[in-house]
Order: sequence, then structure tokens, then C-alpha cells
Amino acid sequence: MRSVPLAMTWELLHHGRWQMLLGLLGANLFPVLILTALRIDGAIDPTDQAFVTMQAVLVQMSAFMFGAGILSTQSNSSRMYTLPVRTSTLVAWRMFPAMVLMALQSVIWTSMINALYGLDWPLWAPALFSAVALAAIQSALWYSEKSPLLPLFVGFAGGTVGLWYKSHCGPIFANPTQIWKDVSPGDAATLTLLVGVSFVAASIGVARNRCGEPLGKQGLIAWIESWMGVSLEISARRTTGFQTRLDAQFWSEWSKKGWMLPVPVSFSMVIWFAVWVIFVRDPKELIVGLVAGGALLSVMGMIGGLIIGNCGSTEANLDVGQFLGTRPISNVDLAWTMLKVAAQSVLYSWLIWFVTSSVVVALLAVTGVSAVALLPAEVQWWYLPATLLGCWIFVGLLTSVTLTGRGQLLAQVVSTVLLLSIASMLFSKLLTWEMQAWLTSAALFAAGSSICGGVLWTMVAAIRQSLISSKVVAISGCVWMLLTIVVIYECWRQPVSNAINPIVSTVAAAMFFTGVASLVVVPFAAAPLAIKWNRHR
Amino acid sequence: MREPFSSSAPPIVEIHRVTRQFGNKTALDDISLTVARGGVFGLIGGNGAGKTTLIKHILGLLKPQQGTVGVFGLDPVKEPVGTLGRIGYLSEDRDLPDWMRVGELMRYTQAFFPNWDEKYAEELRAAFDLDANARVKNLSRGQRARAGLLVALAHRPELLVLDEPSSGLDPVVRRDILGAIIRTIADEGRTVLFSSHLLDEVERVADRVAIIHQGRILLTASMEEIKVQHRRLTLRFDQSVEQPPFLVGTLCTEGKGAEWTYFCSGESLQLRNAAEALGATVVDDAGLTLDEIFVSRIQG
Amino acid sequence: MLIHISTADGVPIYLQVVNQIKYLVAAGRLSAGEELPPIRVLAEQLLVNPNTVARAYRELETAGIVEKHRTAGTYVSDQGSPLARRERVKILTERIDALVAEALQMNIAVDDVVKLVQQRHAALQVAETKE
Repeated sequence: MRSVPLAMTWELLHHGRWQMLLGLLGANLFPVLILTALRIDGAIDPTDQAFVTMQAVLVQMSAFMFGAGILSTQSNSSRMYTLPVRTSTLVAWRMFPAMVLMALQSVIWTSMINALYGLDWPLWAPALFSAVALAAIQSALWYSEKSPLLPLFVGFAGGTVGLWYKSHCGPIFANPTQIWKDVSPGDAATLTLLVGVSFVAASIGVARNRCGEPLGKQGLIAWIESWMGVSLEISARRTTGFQTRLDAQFWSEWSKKGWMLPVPVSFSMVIWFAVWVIFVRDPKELIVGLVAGGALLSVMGMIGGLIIGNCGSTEANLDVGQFLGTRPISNVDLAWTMLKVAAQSVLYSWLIWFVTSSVVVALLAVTGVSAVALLPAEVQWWYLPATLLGCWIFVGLLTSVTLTGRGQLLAQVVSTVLLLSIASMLFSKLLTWEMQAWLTSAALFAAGSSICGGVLWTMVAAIRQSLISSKVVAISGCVWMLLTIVVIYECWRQPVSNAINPIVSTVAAAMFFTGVASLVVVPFAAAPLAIKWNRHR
Repeated sequence: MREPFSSSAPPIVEIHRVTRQFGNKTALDDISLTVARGGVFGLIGGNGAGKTTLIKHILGLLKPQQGTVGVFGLDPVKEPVGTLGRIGYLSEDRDLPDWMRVGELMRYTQAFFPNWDEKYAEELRAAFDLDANARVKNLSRGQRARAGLLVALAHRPELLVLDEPSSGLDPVVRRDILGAIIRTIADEGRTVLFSSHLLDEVERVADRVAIIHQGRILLTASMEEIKVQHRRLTLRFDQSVEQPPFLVGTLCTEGKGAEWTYFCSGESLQLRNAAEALGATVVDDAGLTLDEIFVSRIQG
Repeated sequence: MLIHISTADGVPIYLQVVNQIKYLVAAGRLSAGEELPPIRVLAEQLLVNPNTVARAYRELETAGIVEKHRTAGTYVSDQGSPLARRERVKILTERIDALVAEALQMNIAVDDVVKLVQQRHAALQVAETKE
């Protein structure tokens, strides 16, 4: 390598070849899948309003995927600080090759879509936008490296650029009405300005980091940080002893991870309210949003589970660390501690959602609006326990899986499942409607029964290795039976209406939900097994 | 091959024919080792020789793929509470919860060990100059090692296991660690097992030593035996020789011309006789430091 | 008590302790009846295994340099005993061996060495009477 720019570009391409490939696949695959599905349904109509929205969404999604691929390979620049290279060179040659790749990716992707589906989506506007968005986010990341304010900065950068893009598609806060096609001179100037600002900000940030002064050591930021630090300290400080090992371990785990679910939930609720108050102000949307929030709990539970189940000493390493692994505590007790943290997290998050929703309903009732009337038709009494149990299922399941400490295995299993489901979805699009119904019923039945089988096997394995007490087994069995009875009752009461064969589809649905119900109790067996597998390699 | 042990008390650690592979690499190859109660056992070897892997087997963090491991007569994998509750451990990378404060760490660890002596813990904290309100992640490397040593010592464990305790530490902290080792075995019936590649420290404090190289035990003996069994002989021949003549027990040689130094394994008297049989004059006959013994053993 | 342990020259540690204590006693820096530090204390001070110190004390006891009292302390024994004197002669003999070996290597006759010793002794006595 004769020059620094070449060396850095080569490093980006070589070191990041797998991540970028993955990003490329993701960025291209999803749009292709969605559009293929639509084409098979014969629904591709470029003039349709929905297509405008789709273009905006797909542009952002593809930029996001590929951008994630690039950013994940660009680890922090600190290992280059001691090389004889100027900060501006360092920043320039990390930013610009990435921008070029991003623009290239966007052009290729759009051309491919245009060719395959006979559309006429613009090439250059999204390409230039994606490149500039990447630069903005990179600069925000590098500017606020090592600071707890990082999400704020990145959110600000992303939000600003996103809103600017949206302003080209019609009114900013409503659905897009047009596709941004042409890059006017004003646009070109703004883009250049954005790139310049990003470059300067990034250079300032990296120069500061290079001298060992990450954000937060000066002025206002330092004051904010110290204030945040103080409130964190008050919550975690412990000055008394512990009665038992379990108490001590629970305190340790809860202090580290307990707030990881309730805090984002509260945050999202606050943001949703802010958005609703500013932009929407329609009570029906509010109720729908709250109901959706309940479902969102489960989705957030997935990430919560990943965090709670990480018993390693660092975030990157899922192995039980040498400190935790040498505590004289049995695997069962350790598992119980993790599950207790998970359960308490779930409970607090659900209560936050439930109490907020109740308060909103009460307020609406005071102003004369009946919330119940605004509920979507599908939502009935079972929704409340379902949100709680759903969140617990996701958290419990992911905690147990993450506790195994086999990150690669996890990734492989998840990818296989995803690929299989996508493949089967595509495959099913080729069949007639009747066969689709049969296939769906068969899939649901198979899924439900295999889940039940899996849970039973886990229970038996845990019993054989004395990792679960008979009391817990008995209680789990009772809970499962109770839930199964409820499920069967509901299915019998409201059979699936538009199916070919109501009995078959009802049975399939019942089997599926029984399987899901069994997932409520599986963590009690799976978590100890996972910890044992992780701790003694 | 079971090692004979001198005291009548059952050994604290018994490792019998343990083999461990990671993928294609054999980390431990048919290792047998016994650590008797009382005394300091030094495990020495280069980087990557298998010391940490062996220690992890003793702590139950690794399951032996072949062979058995017994600690206090129990299987550490099956009985973590019974074994780990009597062991004080300091890992090589000083793995401690970064977010805890020193005081919280002490209270947290106290809950796990019934033998925790609060007064002694406070004495250690003062002696090590650790601020109870400092967060572990803000401690310097030496302070971090001291904090780890504190929570390992304060419950007066029957077995103290230290993995490379002095690596990366300044001489002051090293003195603390050596002092802790010595105070531990000065109490009756307590045992120390530590691995190190700082051989002058091992020479000072170890009673028994095992040399491990590429997953195999090269040598296990008491410190006395090792020192007696290795000598450096300088021989002067009548004429210059290109290659020094063979002497039984030689590990390696150096020198030139008519004067050659042999690093040998064997007793002083036998070696002198053998040398004289070769027709050479013994100019110097000295002992070897543990460092020299280790290097010549590995290279030999 | 000033003892310095070095692992640099291959001499076993207990032997270093024994030799240095013998020297201190012979030089008069440890007087008869003075108590040696307990094994634990000396081990911590020198940063060596207590068993090593214990072995050194045992050797010294066998050689008659020190003796253990019933109150569990180790004391320097009386220097007049023939055992102690024999030890002192042994130390000097080792020094003389080294001196003779060196003289031979330097090609100086032993008679010359003896004459030199007497000369130096006379010079020392003169210097002492002058003070």
C-alpha cells in the first residue's frame, strides 16, 4: 500500500466483507421479497398511492440495512490514533469510501428493482441521500463516542436528515404524496452543506477523542452527565449486607439489567404521547396506539431477554465469566435469580403500560369519550393477560436461549428459522387459496405440537439432571393445563370464520396456542439447563 | 500414575489423566497431578502451556473430556457450592463486576461465603488502601488486583487459587500478593495453588512445583529436589573441541574452545565423577536458578 | 536483622539464610542470647516460604548456632561451646579455600600468601594502637 487513503479503503473492504455482504443481502432481499409477493398477487401499480409510501419505506430500509453492515465493521478509530496520520485524513478516508459504497449500493438496488418490476423509481436522489445520511450518522457516532448521550446525537442526526428527506415527499408529518425524483440545485447545495458539516463535526469529535477527552468532560455536557450519574448512583448504592446468596445475586443482576426493559417502555410511551399531542390528536388513534403498545411490549421483550440472559462479564462475550462462574452458587439458584429479574422486569413494564392506559381511558371518560367503543374489533378481554404473558414468553424464552452462551449457535438457529419461514411464505404464494389454507393449518398444528414436544423434553431433561424441583414441575403443569383449558374454550367459542374446514383450522389454532401456552412455563426448566451448559464447558 | 504424597491428610486436588481438546488443539494431554494439603504449589509454564486450562478444570469451569478431577474429594462440576465455597480465586484477567463499588463488592461476596471475616476484610481493605466508594472500573490495574485478592482472602479459604497473580503488576503490589500467599499457608492446613511465569517468585515461596509445557507435565517435584537435581558444570578440556562431548543428564550446553558449561539434570557428585571420566577438569559446579532450570528443560 | 535473599545465583534459599545468620553471629552482630525473629515473621519479611525459614532454623540448631527454648523462641546460643567454634572455623576454612584457589590461579606461591597474611595482620595491629 503506497498511500493512506488506499490502505484505509482496502481495510474497509477487506475487514468488512462479510458484514457488508450481509447488509447487501438484507438491503436487497427484503424489497425483492415484498415486491415479488405483490406481483404474484398482481398488485403492482406504480400510480397507486401505497406505492409512494412503499418507495420511501424501502429506500430507508435498504439504506438502514447496508448502513448497519458498514457501521458494524467500522469499529472505533482509537487503534489508529497513534499512527502518523492527521485527524482530517482519518475522518475523510473512513467517511468517503463508505459514502461511495452506500451510493453505489443504492443505485444498483434501484436499477435492479426497476428492471425486475417495470417501475420507474429514481436513481440518484435516494443514492445521494443515503450517502449523506450515512455521513451524518457516522459523524454523530464519532462525535459522541463513549458518552451516554450517544443515542441522543445519533437520533438527532438521523431525525434531521430523515425529516429533510420527508419534506421532499409532500407534507412532512403526513403520508408521503410524491416520490422525490429530481435533485434540484438547492438540494445539491444542501447535500454538500450537510456533508461539509458532518465532516467538520466528525473531525472535531475525533480530534477531541484522540487527545483523550471524550464528550462529557467539559461544561454543560459534563454537568448533565454528572447529574445523570448522581441519579444512577442513588439507585444502585447498597450499604447493608445480604441475607442469602440468592438475595446478593439478585441484587447484582437487577442493578445491572433490571431497568433495561421498563425504561425504554416508559420512554416510548412518552414519545408516543408527545407525537400524538403534536401531530394527531385523534382519540381513536390514541387508543389504537395504546393497544399496539401492548403488543409492542412483546417485541421489546425480545431485546430485553437478550440483555437479561447475558451473564458474561462483557457485553460481547456470552460465556459465564470467571467471576460469576466461581461464585459458590448452584446452577438452579443462579437460573432462578435470572428468571426473577426477568419476571420483575416484565411485570414493571406491563404495569407501566397498563396504568398509563387506564389513566388515559379514565381521562377520556371524563371528557365524555368512551374508550371501549373505540377499541378495534379483534381486541377482547383476553388481550390484557395476553400482553402480559406474551411479554413474559418472549423475555423468558430469549433469556433462556441467551443464557446458553452459544452466540454463534443462536445466530445460526435464528437465521435458519427466518429463511425457512420466508421460503415457505414464498412457496405458499404459488399455491391456490384452498391449499394455502390447508398448509397454514398444517403448519400451525405442526408448530404447536413440536413446541409442546420440545417443552416436555426440556422438562424431562431438567428433571433427570435434578435442575428443577418437583414442586415447580407440578405448578408448571397446573399453569399449563389452566392456560390450555382457556385456549380451548376460546377456540371452541369463536371458531375461525372464513376457513375451508372450520374444524381443522380450529384444531390447528388450538394446538398452536397450546404450544404457545407451554412456552410460559418452559423457562423454569430451560434456564437451569442453559446455565449448566454455559458454566461447565 | 498417581503421585505419592507425604502427609496423611487426603489431597486437596486430585487430577487424574485429564485430557482436553479445543477443536484440533490439545490443551491438556493426559495430565495427572496431586496437590497435598498445606503448602504452596507452583504451576509453571510458558504462555499457552495449559496452566489456565488446568486451573479452570479445578474450578469446575471446564468439564474434563477424559479423566477425573477431584477437589476436596468432590467433583467441582457437580458440587459447585461445596467446592467453590472453600476456594478463594483470583483470575488472570481480574474479572470483577466493573459497576460495583468496592464496599458493595465486599458485601456481595460476603453473602456467598459463610466463613467471611468482616474484621479481617476491613483490615485488608485498609492495608491495601482501597476506597470503599470507588467503582471497580475506575481502579488502576494494581488496585484491581488488590481488590480481587481481598475478596479471595477475606473468607480464609482452605484453598487459594491464583492464576498469574503478578502479571502486569508493579513491585509493590507483587509484594502484597506474595505476602498474602505466605500468610495464608502460615495458617495450618491451608493450601495455595498458583500459576506463574515469574520464576523468581515461584522459587521463593513454592514448596512443590510442576512444570507444564504444551499440555504435558514435564516435571513434578518439591522445590528442594529440583534444586538438588539440577546443576551447572563448567568443564575445561585439554584441547579445544568443536562439539562438547556427551555427559549423561545434560539438558543443554554453551561455551567454546576448551571450556564448556553444561546444564545438567543429576546430582553433583555423580556429575563430577562422570566429568572426570571424560578427562575434563571441573572448574565450576553451581546450582541453577529455577529460571535456568525451566529454560533448559523446555529447550532440552 | 539484615538478611538479603537473592534467587539469582542458584544457591538454595535456606542455605542463604543459614550462611548469613552464621556470618552475623560470627561477626558479632548477633550476640549470644539474642532472640531470632519467629519463623512466620521472618518469612513475611523476606517473602519466602515459612518452611524454608523453618528448615534454616533447624539446620542452625543442628549446627549449634542457635537453640530453641521451651517458651517457643529461638535464641543465639553461647559462643564458647565447641560446636559453635567448629562452625566458625568452618566458615573461615571456606574463605581460605577460595583464597588459596585464587592464589594458585594467579601463580602466587602459598608461602607468599602466608607471609602476606602476617604482614596485613601486623599492619592492622599498628593501626589499632594508633587510635
